Amino acid sequence: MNRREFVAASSAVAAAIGCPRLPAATRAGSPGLDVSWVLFDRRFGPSRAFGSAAADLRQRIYGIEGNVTEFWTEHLDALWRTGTGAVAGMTTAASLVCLEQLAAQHWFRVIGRVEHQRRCEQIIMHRIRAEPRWLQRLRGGLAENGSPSHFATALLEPGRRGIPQVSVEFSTNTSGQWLDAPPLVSWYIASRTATHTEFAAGTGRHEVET
Amino acid sequence: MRVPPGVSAAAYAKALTEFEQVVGKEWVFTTDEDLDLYRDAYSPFLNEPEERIASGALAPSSTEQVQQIVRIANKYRIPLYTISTGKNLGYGGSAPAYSGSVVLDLKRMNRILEVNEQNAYALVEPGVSYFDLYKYIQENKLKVWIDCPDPGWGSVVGNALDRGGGYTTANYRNHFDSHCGMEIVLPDGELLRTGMGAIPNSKTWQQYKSGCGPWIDGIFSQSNYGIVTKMGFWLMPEPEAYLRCTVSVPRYQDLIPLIEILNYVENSRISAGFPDIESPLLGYPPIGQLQLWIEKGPPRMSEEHVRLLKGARVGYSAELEAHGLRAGIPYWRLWLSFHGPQEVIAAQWQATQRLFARIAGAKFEVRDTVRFPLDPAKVTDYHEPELGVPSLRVFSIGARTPWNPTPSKGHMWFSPIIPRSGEAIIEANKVFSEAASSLGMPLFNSFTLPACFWERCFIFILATPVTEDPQTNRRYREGFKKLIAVGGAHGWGEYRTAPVFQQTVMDVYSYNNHSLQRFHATLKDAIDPNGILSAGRYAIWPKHLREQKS
Repeated sequence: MNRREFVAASSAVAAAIGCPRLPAATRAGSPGLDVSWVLFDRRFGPSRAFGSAAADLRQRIYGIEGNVTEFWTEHLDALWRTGTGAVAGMTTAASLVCLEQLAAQHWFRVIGRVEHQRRCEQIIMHRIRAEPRWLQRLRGGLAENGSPSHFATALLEPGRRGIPQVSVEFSTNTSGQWLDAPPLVSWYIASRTATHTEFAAGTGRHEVET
Repeated sequence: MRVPPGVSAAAYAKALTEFEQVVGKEWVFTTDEDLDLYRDAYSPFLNEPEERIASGALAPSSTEQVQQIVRIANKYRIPLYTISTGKNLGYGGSAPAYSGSVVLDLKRMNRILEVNEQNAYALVEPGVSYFDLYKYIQENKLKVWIDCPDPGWGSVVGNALDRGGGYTTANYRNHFDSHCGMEIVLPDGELLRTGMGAIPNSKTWQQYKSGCGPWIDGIFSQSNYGIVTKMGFWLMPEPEAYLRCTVSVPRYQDLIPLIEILNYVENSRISAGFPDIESPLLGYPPIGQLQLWIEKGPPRMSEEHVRLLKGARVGYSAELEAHGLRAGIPYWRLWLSFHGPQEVIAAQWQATQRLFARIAGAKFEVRDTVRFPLDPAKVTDYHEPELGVPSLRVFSIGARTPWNPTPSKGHMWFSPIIPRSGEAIIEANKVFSEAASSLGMPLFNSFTLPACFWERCFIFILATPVTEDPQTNRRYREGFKKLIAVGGAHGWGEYRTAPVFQQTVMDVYSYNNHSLQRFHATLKDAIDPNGILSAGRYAIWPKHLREQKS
């Protein structure tokens, strides 16, 4: 692919840009959740809804338009140098590739991911890769009639470490916000040593960075 | 637990214990989850058993630890594969060339040892990224620029050793050429410094490159003869101002004098900034505007223009050219930039216009005038690397593309070097488009313009997608190899490639019955008789593996 074809290929995505603004970043915090930041892409409806849902959960959110440079230089690099600081988000796959490589710089890694891709007008495919119990919660969060906050809650409460990840693919009906969105991916990045004890559903969650 | 090839489980266990004693238990990685970080994110073997993977990884924090690791590896014959930060996606990433090797990850060696503003140089360890060095310079308010690739996340040392390129001025864009002095751990654990660094207490290690006697630095790039643990780089003094201008010419054949004059103005340093070629008539963007075209959309074309484009062959049709002349759309546009005191760069631009004015119909335009230091809020108005600012903006592009309705899972860079002439651009397009079309490869589907990273040649840098379909990937890999051979038959060669293609590429460098490859092998056997360092890198295999392969 050359530069001209690259532009042509990307214009479909660029055309989808419509950016009702969430705050670029909010400072909040919830005693029940340990993510340091929740990242969303302001260009895409589902990602904005995810960011809003995370803000409602009193998470510190950060909006990008694909470019993670500022987030990396202003926040993430310093955070990850401390060896702690989980980060979650819903972005394009390209942004995640970038973050995943940056995470590896500090031996952080993606411990759960959900790819979302519209297959036709009304159907969206989800491909989840996570440890089995978390996978079920993520799947529940994406169920028909599920709200963005259900999914955000499921994503922000990660599963067990050291358990082999499994994958599942399934489809749901789209809501209007997915119509113009490119394939997106939701993800959770944690440190090498982040561990946690499982909790009984609904009673809160405990995670310890060791 | 994975075990390196040719090593018993018992020997590997002993080696791991000794590695742990050197670097600490937490910096020896053997679990699948940890080793997944060393997979090539853009592997052309996605979901195939041939994917190259690591058996383990070690992360030392000092040169002394690297020396000890190498000695242990010799003792147990453990194959090591060195990475700086492993960010060369499209060229192999962190994955070893010889599957099953133990990755020697130098990311923790991330000290900026010196940045000298007066003589404009830096001395760094392999774990220092362009972002790290840029930040250090900004925080210390030093008046020097780095030259970085795009994206700028990688290691300064690693990119130079892989012979990467950047976007500022000609003296600095070739990252290997702009280095000055190395420290190397040899395969037996011996420590070596090159150039003036060979003098104890040298005062000019980063100021004079070659020292006295044979200058050996080159053999440690794209190779496996040693582990570079420190490297010096010349930096660019911060210019007072920057001027970016364009020269537009109306006819297809104007490409030839356009490049001839470009070569003169660049080689005589009248314009030293990154030259960038665009074709408004063919709808082909310059690298520096690519991001803006994607974010804001490319310039609109009339239906007539689009129709005529479809009829062009090797970027040309008489009707298309006539349309461009009628509509005032240039065939070619050359972006030039100038760095320095305002009065100097104004004079350079004036001289440049006089030289290009010999092309009938040439038009000139000043695009940007920038005074430094630049307001950080305005840096995204530009292609950041051209101003020496590292960026990750290239990843802001979405993943859905018409050529691949399922998102691409990466790419393999096809990067042949061709001569610096307009004729060569046209010939290469003709040759590669015919070959790619017959092979069903998604390259050269339309007229393609090269990049000007280095002042004496052109380079095409084209992405061949990695897909989720192994059959498609297999077809692309085979096609890629055939395109390398087609290039070789025309005297063109890749400048850099992923491990999967390194043997094919080196086979093109076959003068006098592969005397270059044979010399590489001779060196390997002499320097690394146990073959512990980065086996297979750029097709340099240790003796025991050459024998196995044959």
